[in-house]
Amino acid sequence: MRKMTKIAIVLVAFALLTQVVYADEGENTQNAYVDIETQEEVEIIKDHIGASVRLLQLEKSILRNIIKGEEAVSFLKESGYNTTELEAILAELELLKEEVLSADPNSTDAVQIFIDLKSDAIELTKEFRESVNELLDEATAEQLRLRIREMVSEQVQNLTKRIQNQIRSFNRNQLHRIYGVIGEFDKSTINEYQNGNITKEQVKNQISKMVNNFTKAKKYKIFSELKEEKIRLRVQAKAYVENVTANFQERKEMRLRDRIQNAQKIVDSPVRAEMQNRITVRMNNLSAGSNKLSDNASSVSGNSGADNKNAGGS
Amino acid sequence: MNKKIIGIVFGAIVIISSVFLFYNYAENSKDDIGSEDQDYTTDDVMDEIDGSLLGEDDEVEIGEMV
Repeated sequence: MRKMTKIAIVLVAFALLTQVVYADEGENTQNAYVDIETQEEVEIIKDHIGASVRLLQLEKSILRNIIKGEEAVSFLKESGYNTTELEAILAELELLKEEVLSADPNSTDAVQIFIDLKSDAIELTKEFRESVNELLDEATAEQLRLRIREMVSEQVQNLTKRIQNQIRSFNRNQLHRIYGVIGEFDKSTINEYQNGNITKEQVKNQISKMVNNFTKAKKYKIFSELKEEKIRLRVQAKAYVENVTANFQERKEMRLRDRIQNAQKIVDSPVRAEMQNRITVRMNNLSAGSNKLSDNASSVSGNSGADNKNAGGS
Repeated sequence: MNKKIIGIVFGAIVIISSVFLFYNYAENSKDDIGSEDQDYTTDDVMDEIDGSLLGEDDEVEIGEMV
């Protein structure tokens, strides 16, 4: 009788576990190191154009933050603050921008490269913001925000144009696929869009007029085919992200080591020393985090205990 | 007799779990892709097309410096 009860308990537990596993699959979960926004961004890194778009966008965001950071530093210098720490962060952002520039969009590791470098950019931006906020009161910080908000840079504008060209190339390929699904190819519209003679909205209006004349069944066919492709890409991106998470901390440690080496070329020695010191502290924190992680893993099963300090979220 | 009862309980659990999983799977699939009976408008199709294209002003957000 006792044996029977045990078997019944095991069976009920199995049934409950099945439901729990199923419920978990349906959720759009945030990875320990990669936020949901980044997971969505890597969905287009299925070819070199998508990878190129994301790397250029990342380069632009870093460049813009460096320019704003430099303006913030000069504002603080005018007010007599010591800015060595902030300059060290900017110097590291500059090294990071070079890493983004040298990243190969054709690499099979493009997703991993993008996730890693974006994570570093978020971390450095956050450190800079927090350091500025420690120095300034809210009113002065707001004054500084206003000063840097409307800054225009030729470099950023040039990058914006390159990004727009790459996005047009990406969208051209997408339009080829979309017209293929629709079954009515319009090469001239695609060429006009690619050449910048018509906008994305104008292309959409033309497609919309076409779709409007379709039967309910055809609309369903187009809708479901496009939806299936989107789901396929989402699943693929999720798998990539899971792979990338595996050695996240080790890769970060290697990048920081390389960056300490690259810091040798920084001319300003106090800034160089500060930067090397900051990177060393972060590397030590990483090692401490890894040890803590393995301790947690051995004592608490089922809880990854991931160090969220380094997570991709801003 | 006892073995029979265990067999019936086990069978019932497996069948109920399978039915529940299949029902949920079918419902989710309907939510994701829908069915042909559903009335698809041009807007539904255009939403999917819009989702397949990138916005030319899209940005990668890394946060603000101040």
